[in-house]
Amino acid sequence: MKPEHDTPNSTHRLADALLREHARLGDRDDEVLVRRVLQATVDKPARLATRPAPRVARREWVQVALGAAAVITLVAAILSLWTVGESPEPHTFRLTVRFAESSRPVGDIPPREDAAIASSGQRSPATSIPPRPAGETIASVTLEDTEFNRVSHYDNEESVLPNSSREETLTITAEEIRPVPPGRAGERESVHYRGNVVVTHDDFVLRASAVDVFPAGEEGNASAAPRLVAFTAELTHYASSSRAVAGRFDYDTLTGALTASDVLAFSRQAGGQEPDRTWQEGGRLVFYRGRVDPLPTGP
Amino acid sequence: MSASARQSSLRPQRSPRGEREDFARLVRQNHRELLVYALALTKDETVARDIVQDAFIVAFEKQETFDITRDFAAWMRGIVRNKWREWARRDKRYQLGDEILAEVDADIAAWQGERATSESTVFDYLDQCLERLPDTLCATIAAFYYEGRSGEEAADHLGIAPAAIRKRLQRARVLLKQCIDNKLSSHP
Repeated sequence: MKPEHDTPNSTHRLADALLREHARLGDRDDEVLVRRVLQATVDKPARLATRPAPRVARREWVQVALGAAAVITLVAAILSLWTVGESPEPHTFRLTVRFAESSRPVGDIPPREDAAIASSGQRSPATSIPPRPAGETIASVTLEDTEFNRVSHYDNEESVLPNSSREETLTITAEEIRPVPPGRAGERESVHYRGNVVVTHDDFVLRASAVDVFPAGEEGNASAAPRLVAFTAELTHYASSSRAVAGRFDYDTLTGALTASDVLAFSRQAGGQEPDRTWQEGGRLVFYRGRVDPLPTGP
Repeated sequence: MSASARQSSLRPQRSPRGEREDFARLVRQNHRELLVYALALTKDETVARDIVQDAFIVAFEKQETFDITRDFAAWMRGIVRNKWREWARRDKRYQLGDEILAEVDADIAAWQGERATSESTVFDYLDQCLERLPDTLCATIAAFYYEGRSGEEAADHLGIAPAAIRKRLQRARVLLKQCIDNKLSSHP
């Protein structure tokens, strides 16, 4: 704590907190917090009820479910190693996503964030995002604890989806890490990071107040790729030479698309690509490689 | 609208049709003072926001057990306090004496009450009180809190020693708190 924030009694504590809050937002509502609360409470049942049904053939389900089951097993094993993080020291973890050849067209996979964000039940135009090169799909995830040099991975991944072709690496640094058991908010197991969270990827850096990493699947959707959700975050997207501040960012490891929701600010450095349409405060933007595309916010 | 009527309107409604609007209104009416409360307890903005968010979720999940003889603001302060205790239990550095805790709680209660019973909020009063600060203190507050400078950067900016910055900040906080207390007491 900085000495300037040293507040020996209630007067100083209150005045310091009041000034910090006033400097942050003035007398305005904290819209990001309000939205997060409402999404977790009164808006939650509606969002779950409008989730579209998966449109993947049974055979494809089986294939992908094998990979997802492996991932779930892996993450469950990792989660069992951790208790609630109590150390103020930063932890650095690495999430490695491997892609492998598959006969299943990428376009058949329902975009995950459509289900999570769309409130009208209509299909999101996220399909306009350029997909990964044909034939690539998620095969396995490796979580590597770089601090303790503890590496866990699925040993038999080659037998599930062979011909691994590419890897992506997400490095997450946070003051606190906490495994979240299944059943909470209807989600599968996840890992919750908070406190000065920094997510580093080749294409971007996210600085967030909190980040959730979902290993794979959600509410029975075993084909869902592992994904990362960052809350109240600032994005520097190198591939599109742009920056954004938003209430939420969702990184879909399957498509490689980073979707910003509740966008509060967006700026583009010289040389970057303009969004196809003007971005709107509170709206959504999709970052993919060198592109930034707005998404409709209403039905 | 009378104070008692406004207090009654803070209590959650049971009508499913208006549940969303009622709860959203309660969140909007209470979250800023609760953020100040949590920040005063934790001194960490990220933790404070997490605590307030979690507290509202707990309140929503337990609204059926809400005691209608109490007001919603007090109930929320209690939940925030319990969340803070859970967090502070991990590290003794963050624990507070009962006296300080009671004083902070009483002031936040007064600020919440002001929002509920008048058109003004504690942030409005802070605006007014900042204008009445001596120029030197006001410049220090502006440099440190509103321009985001560190103590040393503020010292460089104002051409004074870092120790003087700390003294000025302490003096300004005391004056601002006294000014806000006076404004609250003039609106019983």
